[in-house]
Amino acid sequence: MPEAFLQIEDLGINLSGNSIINQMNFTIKKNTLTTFLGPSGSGKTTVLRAIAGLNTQVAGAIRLDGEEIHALPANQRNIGMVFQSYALFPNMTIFDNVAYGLRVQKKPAAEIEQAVMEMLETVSLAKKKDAYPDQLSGGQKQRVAIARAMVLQPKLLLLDEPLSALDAKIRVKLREQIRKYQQKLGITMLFVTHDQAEAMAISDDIIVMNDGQVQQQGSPMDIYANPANLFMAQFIGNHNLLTGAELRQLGFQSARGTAVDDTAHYIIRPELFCPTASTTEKSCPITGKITSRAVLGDRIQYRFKSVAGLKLKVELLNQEEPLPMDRDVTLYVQERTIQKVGATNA
Amino acid sequence: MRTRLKVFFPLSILVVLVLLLPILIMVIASFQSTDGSFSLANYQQVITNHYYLKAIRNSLGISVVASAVSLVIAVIGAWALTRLSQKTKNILITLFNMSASFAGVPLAFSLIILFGNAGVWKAMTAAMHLKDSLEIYSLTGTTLAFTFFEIPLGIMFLFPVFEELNPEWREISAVLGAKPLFFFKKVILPVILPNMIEVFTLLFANAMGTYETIYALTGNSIVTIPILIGTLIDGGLTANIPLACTFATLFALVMTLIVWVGNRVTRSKREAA
Amino acid sequence: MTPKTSRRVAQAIITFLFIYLATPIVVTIIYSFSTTWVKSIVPSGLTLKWYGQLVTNPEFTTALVRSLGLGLLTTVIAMICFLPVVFYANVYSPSVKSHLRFITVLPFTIPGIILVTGLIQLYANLPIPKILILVLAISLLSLPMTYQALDNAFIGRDFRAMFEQALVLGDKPFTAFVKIIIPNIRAGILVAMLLTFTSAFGEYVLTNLLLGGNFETLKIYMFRLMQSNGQASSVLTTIYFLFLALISLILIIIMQRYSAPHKSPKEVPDH
Repeated sequence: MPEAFLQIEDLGINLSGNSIINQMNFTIKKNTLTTFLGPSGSGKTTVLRAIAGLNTQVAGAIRLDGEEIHALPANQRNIGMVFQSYALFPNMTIFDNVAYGLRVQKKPAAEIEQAVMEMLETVSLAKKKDAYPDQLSGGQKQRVAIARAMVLQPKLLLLDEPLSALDAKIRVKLREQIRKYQQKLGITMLFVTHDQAEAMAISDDIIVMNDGQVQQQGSPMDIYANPANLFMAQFIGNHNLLTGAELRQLGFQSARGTAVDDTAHYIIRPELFCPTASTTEKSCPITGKITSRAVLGDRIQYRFKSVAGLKLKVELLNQEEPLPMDRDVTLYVQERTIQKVGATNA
Repeated sequence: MRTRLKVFFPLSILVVLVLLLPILIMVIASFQSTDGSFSLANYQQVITNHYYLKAIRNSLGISVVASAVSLVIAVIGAWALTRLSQKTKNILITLFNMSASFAGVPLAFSLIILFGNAGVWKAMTAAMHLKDSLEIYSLTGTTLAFTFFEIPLGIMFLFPVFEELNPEWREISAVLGAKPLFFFKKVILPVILPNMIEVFTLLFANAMGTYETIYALTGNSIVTIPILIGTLIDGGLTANIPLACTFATLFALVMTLIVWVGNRVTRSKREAA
Repeated sequence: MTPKTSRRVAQAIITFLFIYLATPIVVTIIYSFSTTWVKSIVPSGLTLKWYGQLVTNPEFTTALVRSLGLGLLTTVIAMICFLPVVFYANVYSPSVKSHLRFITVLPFTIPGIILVTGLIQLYANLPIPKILILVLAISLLSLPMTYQALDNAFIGRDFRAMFEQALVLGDKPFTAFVKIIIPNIRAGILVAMLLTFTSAFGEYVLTNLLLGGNFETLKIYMFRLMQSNGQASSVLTTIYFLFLALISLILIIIMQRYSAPHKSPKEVPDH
């Protein structure tokens, strides 16, 4: 892969005697935003710290822009990092915080002044340059932390759950801003999160991790629609996950033109149910009862129980009369939308 | 790894030079007779000599009574402290800390001024024709003296425990319909009790190891283990350092055991919770 | 009990305790100002002459200088031994802390009188200056205080992230420690130094037994005066008490001023 900018090869990490990461491989392309997604305790932060050089006791290779960096100490890697706790220096003003790295490089004062102010403009905090971190809100603090990392124009910027400590509203706003900075300044970012929606919203590429292993890497669309294995199918929590036998019970004999395999797993995405049969595509009717209903605004979420007793999640656009709860209803699912777990997408 | 070595180097040197080596030598010396040969004679003396047994009895008596009384008062004091405003708490904690550092010679002297033969207390009781039974140079007086540093010490140990007792617990318990006594028995006691045991062991150990206050107050007339060790080290003709080492070894052993047990009690309870 | 009555009760208890603990000190202070006060309820008169006598006595000055020197040396040694270790434990390896816990109970399991026995046995006949051993031993016994105060300084902020951030920004570990860690724990360092200094300044057991009374510090001088001259001794006790009170006052001021930012200040709301 010629465009691999960061390349992780056979990475192995032991922490206090336990093997946390074993033989991990992945690559990141230049000028993209890649998220590292996984449940807490899956080893995301451990890998990030190894890339940053905060843990150099690792096996395998870490290549950044063609250079092997795995033995370099953190202060020689030209990698930026943003911590969940912001890690601003409370004894310094916002300006001094952002200037810190440039001062370590002994850049001339005028150059520092210009670069820092430019960066503070970018994150809209120029007015706060003389404030101290404790006088800022959480969202502002994190913007300072991002500016402090970006001003050094690092080859790679690592963000370790940067939004987890913030309120939901600020989180959404700031993640859009991070994406904007990334595109404007052309920085390669690796963003760790456990929040699936966050990952989906801002990434070019998502790497899903669990148990110290990469489970799947792909675009948000790919990760959502085409889970590579059972863990992925369960992790993308909203899907109806069925065994082949259950699928057959619902009346499907084939999925995407191939016969249903009793031992395989399949997903039916809840938003792909239709109240009416398609005229052009092969659809299968499923009859049952609605057991509960929740209006989410633009959509309505139903719990549906088929005649044979299978429970399914169904989401329909909130545009017609809601489905009745007192009598049997029939929903249709197009046979081509049923995805076999782990099948390579043709 | 090199950083780790550098970081721990000064502390390790200190611990080796003035803790590990001396204690090791002390233990070895406790098994030596005055001519340097191996013997258990020192240990035999400790448990047979009446004078030494009396020192042990005195130490135990003073320490048990002083730390038990102090613990009870400290519990009440620590509770009372949690009821006060944050600012007052900070100030009082510092003052209690200070009154604990006042222990020793200054405390002994102050108590002599107050309760001694020429002191105010005697004058007051005489003026009011009361019978004065408080003799500051006695066992009772020594025990009283100990409370002056054991109480503040106990409060400082117990205060964080009481601070952690969440007032919301009481509310939740009340909402669930529990009576105050039930709350006390099922919630407060299981949390406080192990801590009280731990603090008692610390107060007890502290009292057992107290030399300065007793020495300044009574000279060598009330014999406790530390006073005995002091005279064995310092006593001119009667000096017997190997015997002092024996007492010190036994002391360190027993105290380590007691403090360790006290520590275990709180920790096992904490882990169970 | 309603909250209000329980507060009253609490105040009463604290007041009573306070009176109990303070009475001997107050009496000593009055005694130091009285012409004579023997077997009477109130002193016969007030005077400052005992203060004049003590303060001009060269023995007092020598003892004071010795105690100050002991306190300073001990503070420096305790800081050198513990500052790096506490930093390391908090930033690199929190598991180290459980191993350091033994230090906090050290004065209870090995009090001064026990430690001095071992020290005499080991060093009595070695050609090492006893004063050096004394300073080291006092440092060891004041470590729990130093450790606790320093460790508290690391509560409330993510020093690990701050330190690592400085490294990632290209700084060397030592300069990062000086520029980032030290300024942000300076209140804790100050508290630790004051507490260590106080405990060394008032040390008695080790000094007296290890050096056999040849090295007269303030406490030993106080003890000697106590045997011979009650008035002078009460003056010295009062001065010692004032010294402790001064240290406490400084500690209280530091706590009032610096404790606020450490306990995460009122979070500024996002908008």
